[in-house]
Amino acid sequence: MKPNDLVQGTLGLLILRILALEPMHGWALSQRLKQMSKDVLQVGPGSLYPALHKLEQDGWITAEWLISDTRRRVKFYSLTKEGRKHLQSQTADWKRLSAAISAIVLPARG
Amino acid sequence: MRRFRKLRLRIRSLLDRSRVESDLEDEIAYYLDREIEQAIAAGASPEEAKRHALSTLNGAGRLKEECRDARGVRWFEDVLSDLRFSARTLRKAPMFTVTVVSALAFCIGLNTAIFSVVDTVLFRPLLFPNQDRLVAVTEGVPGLGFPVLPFSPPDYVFVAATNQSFASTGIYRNQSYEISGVDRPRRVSGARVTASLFQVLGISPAVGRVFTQAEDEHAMRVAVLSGGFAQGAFGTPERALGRTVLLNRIPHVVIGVMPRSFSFPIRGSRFNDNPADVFVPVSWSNGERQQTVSNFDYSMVARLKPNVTIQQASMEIKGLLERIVKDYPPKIKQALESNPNFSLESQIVPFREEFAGDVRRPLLLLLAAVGVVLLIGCADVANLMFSRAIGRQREFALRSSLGAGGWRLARQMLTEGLVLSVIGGAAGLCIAFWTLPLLINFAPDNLPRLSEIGLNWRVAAFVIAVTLATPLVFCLGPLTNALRSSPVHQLRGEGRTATQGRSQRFLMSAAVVVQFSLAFVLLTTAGLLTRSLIKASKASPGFRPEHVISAQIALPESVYKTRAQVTGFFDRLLSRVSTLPGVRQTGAISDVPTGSTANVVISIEGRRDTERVDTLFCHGNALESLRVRLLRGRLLGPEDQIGKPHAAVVSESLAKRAWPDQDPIGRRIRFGVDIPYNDEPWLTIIGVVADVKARLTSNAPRFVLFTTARAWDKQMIVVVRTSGDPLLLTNAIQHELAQLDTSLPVGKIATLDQVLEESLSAERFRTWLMGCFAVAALLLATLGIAGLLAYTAAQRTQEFGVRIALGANRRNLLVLIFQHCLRLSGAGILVGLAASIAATRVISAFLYETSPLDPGTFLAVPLILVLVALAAGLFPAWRAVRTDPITALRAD
Repeated sequence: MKPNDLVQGTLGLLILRILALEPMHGWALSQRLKQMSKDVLQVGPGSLYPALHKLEQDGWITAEWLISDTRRRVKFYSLTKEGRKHLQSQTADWKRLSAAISAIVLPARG
Repeated sequence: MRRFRKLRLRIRSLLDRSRVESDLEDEIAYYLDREIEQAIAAGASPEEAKRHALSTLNGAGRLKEECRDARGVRWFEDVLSDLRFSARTLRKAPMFTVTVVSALAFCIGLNTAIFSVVDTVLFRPLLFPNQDRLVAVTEGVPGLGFPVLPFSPPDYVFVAATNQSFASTGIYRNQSYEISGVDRPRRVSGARVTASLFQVLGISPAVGRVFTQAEDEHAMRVAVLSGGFAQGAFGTPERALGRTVLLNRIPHVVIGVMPRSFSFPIRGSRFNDNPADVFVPVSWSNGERQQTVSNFDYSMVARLKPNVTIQQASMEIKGLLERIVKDYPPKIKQALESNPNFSLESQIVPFREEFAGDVRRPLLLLLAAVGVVLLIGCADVANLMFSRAIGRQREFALRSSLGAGGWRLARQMLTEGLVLSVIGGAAGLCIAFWTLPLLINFAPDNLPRLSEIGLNWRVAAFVIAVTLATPLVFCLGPLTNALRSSPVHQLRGEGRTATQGRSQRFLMSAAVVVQFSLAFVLLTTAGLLTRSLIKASKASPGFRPEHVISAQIALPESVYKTRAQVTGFFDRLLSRVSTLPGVRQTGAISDVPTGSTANVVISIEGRRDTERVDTLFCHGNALESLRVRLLRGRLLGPEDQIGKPHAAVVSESLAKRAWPDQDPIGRRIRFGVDIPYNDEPWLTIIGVVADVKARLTSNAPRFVLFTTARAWDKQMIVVVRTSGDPLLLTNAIQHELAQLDTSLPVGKIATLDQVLEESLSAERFRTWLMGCFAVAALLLATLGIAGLLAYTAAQRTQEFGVRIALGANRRNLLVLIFQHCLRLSGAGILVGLAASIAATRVISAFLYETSPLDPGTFLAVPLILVLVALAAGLFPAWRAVRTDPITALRAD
């Protein structure tokens, strides 16, 4: 499933959710996303980085350059305090939205 | 916190762009490397791994672009690229760029200079803290013909002590002083002020202190100097402190120096409007404190208490003045019973309305005129942009078919306009900087606060606003055109060159017509003002000023105390001067008759009411020297000075008013209201003279009274009629003065012709400026029509070629071009004529003996415009006639 097919803004929610666990860099994030969604969600850099930059510009996440084990500069993203709050409200929104969609799309059995 | 972080990021994205870009590269490179590592670990060959990684990227350029978009700096990049593109295209068209920029710079510069003057004089708040609480308080005796007057000492003392409306009050009165003990003796402008005045205004001295109430009450000999004067006389303000200067030969100690920015009283005020160099305590004598219903000479300024409005204060002061009248001494009350209209009125206005009343309308007129010049300039630029846009139609068509939206193209065009106007605006600011000193140099005396002129935020805001607004005006035509036309239509192109469409031609012609009509209005305005100025400078003031030299002399009262001393001095001086070679008559008079003179109330024997008259005190053969025109009786002469004042000469208008259908000779008048205790002597009318004008530009009848000098006339103007060049006597007169009193400073020496010419300085200033604007407008309009004609002729080269090839007479081509020329200018002239008939009515108040529809002006202006239009058509006509049909047809 391509993120373009995802509901608008869902990628941001996913990124916030994963970064809530621990700070990480872009590649690790895409790996974690793939792994957590059991290979359903594969987000390439073409979607991931613009989304990250947008979240950063919006102030939900912040980035810092660290030196990796292989002595390379790596950009680590982490959630800000405001980002954490934003994630909570987004999650609540998501619950309501997905429940509503499920109620329509999946007809109640029995 | 979040907002701050966002802002920081955005600023970083904008300012540190190369860093942000390389970070992005690093980030993506790291991702790719990890992707490759992973693939290799899964068993792929290095090449395969690399290919796979790159394929996930799906185009690095697009990714970067999207990241930039996500950062929200794309608009900025677009602006940058628009700017770069504009700069490049403008550099490629240097003629166009230089023309547009210089036209804009010229117009914006002129506008800025004039706006700075208008702003300083009319809009800028005063330098005083909380200046909106400052008010000017006046009295008025409408029953005697004086609706507005400054305060008299006893009334001020009472109002200052009893009022509840004002936090503080002060007064000031101009008085000139002979100052000596510094370098050479000279006259300086001074002011007698209360100690409270500085506190009311809220200005403290730059060094030292101002005087105290006690010093004022005890008439201490202390003085405060203006910053400029202290600098000029002592080098620095500090060095002036503690020095003793002689004011009217009485020693005063300098206790303080005001800041240089403090120029007070403010020029152009209704009363007392000479910025003072010396401030001394007003220190009223007991006599001055008790003079009831006279001595209305002191301007009052007050600071309203918080929460008190001008209306409330007015009500209170009115009540206080009524109490003053009620408490008048019985004999005055008794005397006033004969004048049932008598009442003391008061008026309170915001202090900044105290001045600039007279100059407001002429200044706004100039501002409007210079704005019109800017409009004409904008029309020029618009047409230039237009003709350039037409040349670039195919470029635009290409760009829009490549996907640039109409809005994007419009933005590009606006950016170009903005680049031009910003360069023009910056250059204009420089021009304003250079022209301002020139402007101030020529400015007439009555413009208030010119010393404060300079660049401030309002002027800066004005320049920025004009700079930003002009591209909107001059890009309007090309813009609408670009937004409307379809690329297909243009790419298909009518022939190989794009030609202008109908609407374009109409817009460009309309711009030229507007230019011509605006230029018409400015030219008629300038023409009318010029005619009026010439008429005024040729007008007879009521005496013969030629061959008369005048010298201002003021005797210090500490030395010249009695009338005998004063008249003795002038007698000696006049008799010495009359022996000089070339001198015909000599005399002394209190003022130049044309100009502001003492305005006093007189009563006429046998009548109950009073008249207001302009009074001039004469000594020697003053009236004969001036050649005032005698109608009846005789003029005042030296013999009339003997004994108590007893003789007077009146102007024709006054004689007719006071004694209609009767012979005025032998009738009597006296100063003041005719009441028993009035001890002014009766004056017998010995002659009637023709009216002397109050101003050269006024034809109103004027009531003038000439009588012999009094003891208090220590300031006189010596007038000397000569047979030759009066200026040759300058040195001789100075020499005679020095012989009589070595320490007497020599006042201004000038011929009466010069004095009269100076009296027209305000009229000359605005006429000159208006003339300059009109010429500028004419030049810009010429540029406009010449540009349009040349452009259309160039567009029609092919057509001309065809016509010639088909056997058209070359004269027909000329007719074609000049017809176009006349159609354009004719339309402009017609519109301008209608506009001028409406507009010149506004300036009719400024015109002297000139009708706002003066036929001469209204004939000359269209003639000039037609000639200019024809001249502008010469070049294109010459080119058209010389069109070689072969080359013309082969072109493109």
